[in-house]
Amino acid sequence: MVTSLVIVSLGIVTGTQSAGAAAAKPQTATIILNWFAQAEQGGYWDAMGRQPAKSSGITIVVKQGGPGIQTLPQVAAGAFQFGVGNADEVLQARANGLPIVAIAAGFDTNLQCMMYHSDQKIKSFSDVSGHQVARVPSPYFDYIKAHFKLTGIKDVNFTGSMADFKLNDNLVQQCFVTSEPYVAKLAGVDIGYLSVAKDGGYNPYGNLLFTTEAMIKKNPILVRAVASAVVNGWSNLIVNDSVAKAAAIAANKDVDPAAFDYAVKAISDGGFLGSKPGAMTLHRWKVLRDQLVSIKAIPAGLDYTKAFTNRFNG
Amino acid sequence: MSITKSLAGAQGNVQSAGTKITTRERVREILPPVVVLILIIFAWWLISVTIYADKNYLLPRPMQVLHAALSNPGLLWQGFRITLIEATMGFGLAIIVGLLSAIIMSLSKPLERSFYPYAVLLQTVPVIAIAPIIVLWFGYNQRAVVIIAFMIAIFPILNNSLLGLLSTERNQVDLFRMHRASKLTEFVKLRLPAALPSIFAGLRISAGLSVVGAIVGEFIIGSGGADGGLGVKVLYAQARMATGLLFAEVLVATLLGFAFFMLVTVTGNRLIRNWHESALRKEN
Repeated sequence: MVTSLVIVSLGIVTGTQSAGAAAAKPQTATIILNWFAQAEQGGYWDAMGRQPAKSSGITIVVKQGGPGIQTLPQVAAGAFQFGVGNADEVLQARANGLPIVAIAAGFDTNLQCMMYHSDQKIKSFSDVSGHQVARVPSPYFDYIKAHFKLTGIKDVNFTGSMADFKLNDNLVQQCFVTSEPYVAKLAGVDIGYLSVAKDGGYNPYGNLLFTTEAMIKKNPILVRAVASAVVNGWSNLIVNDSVAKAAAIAANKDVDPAAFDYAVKAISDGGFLGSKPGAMTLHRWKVLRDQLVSIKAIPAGLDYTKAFTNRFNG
Repeated sequence: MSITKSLAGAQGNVQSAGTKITTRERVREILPPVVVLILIIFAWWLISVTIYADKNYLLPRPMQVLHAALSNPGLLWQGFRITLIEATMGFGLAIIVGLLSAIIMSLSKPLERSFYPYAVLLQTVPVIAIAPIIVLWFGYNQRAVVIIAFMIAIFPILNNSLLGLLSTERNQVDLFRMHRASKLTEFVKLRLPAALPSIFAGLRISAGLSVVGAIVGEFIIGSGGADGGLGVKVLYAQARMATGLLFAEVLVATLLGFAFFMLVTVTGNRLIRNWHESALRKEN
C-alpha cells in the first residue's frame, strides 16, 4: 500500500517535471480581487476562464474578495502576487511604505456613484448637504465633501444593503453605475444617481491590477503575461461575456447571470474602459495625487510617477 | 453596624486598616509589571526592526506609533471622548439593569428559576453577530452603539451578582435570623455586602467589555467625519493603510478599557478592603 503510494506520487512528480522541461517552468499567478465575483472585475474572470498564458506554463488563479478585504497589504506582504484595487488606494499605500505598483488600469472612468431617492431635490453634489451618506472609508467622499463644501453630512458605514436605503428617504448611498440601478429596480425603489468621476471630478482608475516592486524586478515575464491576459480579458468581456461569466459563477454560485449581463452592457455602453484598455497616463495620476494632497490623505511630496507603469499593459 | 463589624472579625486573618506600607513594598509591587512592559516593548521593537524591517505597514516600530500619536492628538482625543461617553453609558445601563435584575431574582425563587437559565443562555449570544440588526432597529446613531455596549456588558454583571447574592454563608444567615433581623436588614447588611466581591468580579469583566462593545458598535455604524469614536477612526486608518496610527488608536482604546477596569477595581477594593481575602494586602 505504502509502496504503491510512493510509486504513484513519484510518477506525479516526474510527470510534472518533464512537462515543465518541455515548456517553461510552470508557474501560478494568483490575483486577489477586491470584491465578490461580479462583472465589475470581469476582465480578471475572463483571464481565468481563457488561461491565455497556459502555453508559457503560466496558470492564472483569481480569488474573490469581499467586504473588509485588504488586497494591498496582502499583496505587499506576499500572500498573493497580484491584486485589484483603485488608484487612490495605491497612492495611499505608497504613502505608507507599501511597495505597490499599478500595472494595468481597469476602468478608465471610475464606476463609483452616489444614489439617492428620486424625490430628493438633488441635482449636483452641492445638493447632498444635510444628507446621511453611506460610504466606505475610502477617500473619494472626503474629496467630494471638501470640493463641494458640503455641510451637515452624516457619514455612516456602507454595508452594501439595500434595506437601509429603502428605509431612509434622506439616505444617499454609494453605488456602482453598473449594478445598483438594476438592483434598485428589482427592489422597487426609484433612484437617481451622480457619478463621482463625471459629476464629482474625482476619477481614480478603478479595479486596476497591481503588484509589488519586487515582483516586477524578479519576474517581469510573469508580470507581463498576467497584465496582458487581464487587458485582453477586459476587451473580450465587452465583446462576449460568456467566458468571464462562467468563471465567475464557478467561483461563486450566487452570481446572478442577468445582473452580470446588465453590468457588462453598462460598462460597454458607458465606455468605462476607455479607448485603450489597461493604459494609464501620467497626467491622470498627477491630478489624483494633487486631489488627495488637497484633503491631506497623502503627504504633498509623494512621487506618483513610481506608483504605476505602462511597461506591461501595451 | 455591630453585626457587620463582628462579621468582619469572624472572617479572620484581618489586618488593621492602618497597616503601614513601606516604600520598599511599593517598589516590590510596581517593579515586576514595569519590567514586563519594558520587555514587551523591547521585543516588539526588536521584531519590528528585524523580521518586519521592510514591512512596517504590517508591524510598525514603537517610534512610528508614538510619532503617529503625537501628530494626531486632536483625532485621538476626539475618538477617545466619544468612545468614553458611549462606553460609560453602556456600562452604566448594564450596572443598573444587571444589578436590579440580579437582586429581583435573588429575592424570588420562582423568578430566579424562570429567568436565570436564560440569563446564562443570553450570555452566549454572539452580540457582534446581531449588532448589524440592532443598528437597523435603532438607527445609525450613538444610541445603537450604547445598546450594543450595554448588551455585551450586562451578562457578567447579572450572572456574578446573582451568584454572589445567592451564596451568602449559611451560618451568617442563621446568625441574622437568631437576632430576628428583618428581611431588609438581612439583605442590606448581610446578603448585599457578602455579594460585593462577586458583584465587583462581574463589574471588572464588564468594564473592559463595555469599551469593546462601544467599538464594535462604531465599526458597524461607521459614523465618520466629526463624530466618530475610536472604532470609526480605526476603520479609516485601516483603509488608509496607516498602521502606525491604527496601533496608536488601538492603544488608546486599550488604555480606555484599562482605566475603566482600574476604576472599578479601586472602587471595589475600597468597599471590601477591610474583610475580603482578595482585597487584603498579601503577607509574605
